Amino acid sequence: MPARKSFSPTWTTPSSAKPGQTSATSTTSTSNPDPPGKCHEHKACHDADSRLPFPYDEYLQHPSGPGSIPEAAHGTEVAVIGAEIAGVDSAPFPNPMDAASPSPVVELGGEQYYASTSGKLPPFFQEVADAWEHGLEERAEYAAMQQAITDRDYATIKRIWAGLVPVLDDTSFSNYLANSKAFSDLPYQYREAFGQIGFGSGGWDVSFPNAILEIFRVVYMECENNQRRILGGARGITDGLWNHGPENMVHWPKALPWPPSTAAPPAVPSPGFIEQQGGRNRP
Amino acid sequence: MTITDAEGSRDYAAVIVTCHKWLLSTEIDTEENLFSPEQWMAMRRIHYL
Repeated sequence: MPARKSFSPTWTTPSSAKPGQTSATSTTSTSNPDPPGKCHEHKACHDADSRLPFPYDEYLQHPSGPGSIPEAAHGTEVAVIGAEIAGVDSAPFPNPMDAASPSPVVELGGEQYYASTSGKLPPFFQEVADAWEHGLEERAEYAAMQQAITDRDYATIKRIWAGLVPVLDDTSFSNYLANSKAFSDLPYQYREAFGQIGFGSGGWDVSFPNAILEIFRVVYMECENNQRRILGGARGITDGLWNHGPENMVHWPKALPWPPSTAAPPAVPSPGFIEQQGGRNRP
Repeated sequence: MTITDAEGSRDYAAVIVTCHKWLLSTEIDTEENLFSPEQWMAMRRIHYL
């Protein structure tokens, strides 16, 4: 089983489900017999078949892949807009106060504060961080959700989430903060500072108009921490899409070696390049 | 389905979209009737950061 903190951890809730419906199927399906013809081998398949949420990272790890193309369509082109992150090397993204950032600097209200993991920031920063932590805990069962995700306890994940959706579906991030006990006990300056110190190269405040449920999804999965950057740049994805050939190809005759052991391919490999390397033709 | 990019337009029987769904209504000029109003609304509401 892969570690929880895969590159793109996420889970899916049924977007069409209404709040009242989300808890209706929460825990009952575990005792039901699997539908005939369904995969019994992999936990992820079982969970995906029977209920939501399901572990998307396990789903992506399935040896058969996330989907297949009907036999009649083998060899035809499929358009791909975007790409999954797979088969690329990555390294920790240097977030502020992260071990990957040797010397973070915080500029707030025209003042610069230098800090390292061993250095000390003024207490104000810790108070802001504490308010955020308490603000999450007071209405979002943050610690319980973290534990449930670590345990892959889907019934508890579902119970917590199903309780949050009807209550906070129409609440923005900024509204949630303003109405939290943790921040409303403090001057506005604390929320402002919290908004300016975020993750990556931006602050949280650009997300203040977003739904708080979106933010929960990010922080429950720690997507704001433990980010990765792609070594060699984002072109590794498009190069990989073009050149990578899995071992278990159904239609195409031969998988190309990836990464190529010889010189790097041209920036935009032509179909002719592919033909020379492995006899793989495009229609 | 017709996809148009810098190289021109091509027709495809299937399109896999793995980018942020939000982009379908912002950066990508998407034919509106590809999705129902309810689906468009859902994509607006669950867009990733």
